[in-house]
Amino acid sequence: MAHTGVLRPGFIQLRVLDMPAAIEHYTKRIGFHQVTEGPDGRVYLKAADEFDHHSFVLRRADAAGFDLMAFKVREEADLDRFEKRIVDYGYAVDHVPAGEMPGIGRRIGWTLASGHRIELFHHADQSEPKPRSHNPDVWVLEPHGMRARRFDHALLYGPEIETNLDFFVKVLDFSCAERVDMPDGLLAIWLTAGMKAHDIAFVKYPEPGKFHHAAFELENWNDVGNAADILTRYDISVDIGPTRHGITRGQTIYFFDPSGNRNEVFAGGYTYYPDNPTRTWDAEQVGKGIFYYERQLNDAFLSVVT
Amino acid sequence: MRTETAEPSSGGKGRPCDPAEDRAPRRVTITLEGHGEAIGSTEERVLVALERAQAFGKLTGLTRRLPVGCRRGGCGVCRARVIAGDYRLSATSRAHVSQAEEDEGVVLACAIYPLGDLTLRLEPKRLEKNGRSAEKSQGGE
Repeated sequence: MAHTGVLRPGFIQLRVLDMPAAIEHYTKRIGFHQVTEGPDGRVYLKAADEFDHHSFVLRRADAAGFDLMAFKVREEADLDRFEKRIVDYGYAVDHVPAGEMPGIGRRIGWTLASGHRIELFHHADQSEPKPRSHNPDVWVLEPHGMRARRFDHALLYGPEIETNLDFFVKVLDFSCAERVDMPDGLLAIWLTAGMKAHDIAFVKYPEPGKFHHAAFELENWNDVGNAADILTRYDISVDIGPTRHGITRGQTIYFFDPSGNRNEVFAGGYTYYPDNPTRTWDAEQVGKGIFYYERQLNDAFLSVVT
Repeated sequence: MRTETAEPSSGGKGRPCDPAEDRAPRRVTITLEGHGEAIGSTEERVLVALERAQAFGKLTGLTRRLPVGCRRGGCGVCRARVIAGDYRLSATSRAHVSQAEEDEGVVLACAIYPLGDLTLRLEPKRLEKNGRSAEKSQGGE
């Protein structure tokens, strides 16, 4: 197996202000399914095209934003191997027992220099709806809403992203697919554990632990157009798009959930191979890198976070 | 103090939003102190009315553009203080408006619906020593 260690994003947990409004948004508009609600009120969601128990967790709170993001590792023993490497790097690692989230085995967690909690897990039960694995149809339940196929990636904002870059590459074996360098230093990094253009990205920001967006993968540009129709029909707050990123080449819309957490629908994006060079952007061209058609950042890109 | 009446009165008073309540929209005037007026509705977020007024050139003298972020009470960039008029509150992140501030009329303009004519001024968060909440003044002070 060429792909070992950290496989991909497993799930993200976000804080929402209004749980019923959040559930309606993520199930009816994004197109996810609710798997279950836990005894502590957290709600677990997934796309019908995902096998594992859930990929998106909502927690009701007084402030919107990011709780944690967890990556799935290939083997159970990877958890112990990575724990040693993370501790050797200098981060305190804690243990979350199996069952703290329904359907998920034991997890290890720690806090990045940017203030974000990251976790690793190996075991996940599967849950319905999920794709069939013998003579499979393209879908079992017809896609609805924006027809999201998976939770794809997240962009997080915080300080010391140079340290995050070093950590993800040296300790978690990620690759840096793209980066933006400004005259005063590193502004942003796009990191991948596999062959997607990115699994997680960071932008430099003074306040730790902030959240820019969570992205949902769509099948194609036509589905991005369908998502745009849904955004207007249901008066969902739009940030920018439909447009395209120069970085990753993804076709995209940025918009907001009912608690002000930014969402993205994302289609396309190039295939990254681990021998590819890191693509670099400078201050003069970063506008085209972020929003390829507008060729400039909008007011919200560097300042609006939860 | 909160008011439970839908009738306009003086002072910036809020009450929790009940989305199930069925109201006929009423036209209201929203004044952004020192910058101009917007025509809004009792069924529309105040910030959205201000965005439309800006697009029609009705807001003047802002040092930068109207601060518009998530429009859903989460990001905090449209923080403001209601000087006069009543409003309904919808979900607002405590990270940006404390209970004490809420009680004295500090709001996120995107997270209130006017109950009548309303006057407000932009009130971005103050810069803190550690660089947090560093939203710059948008000309509202």
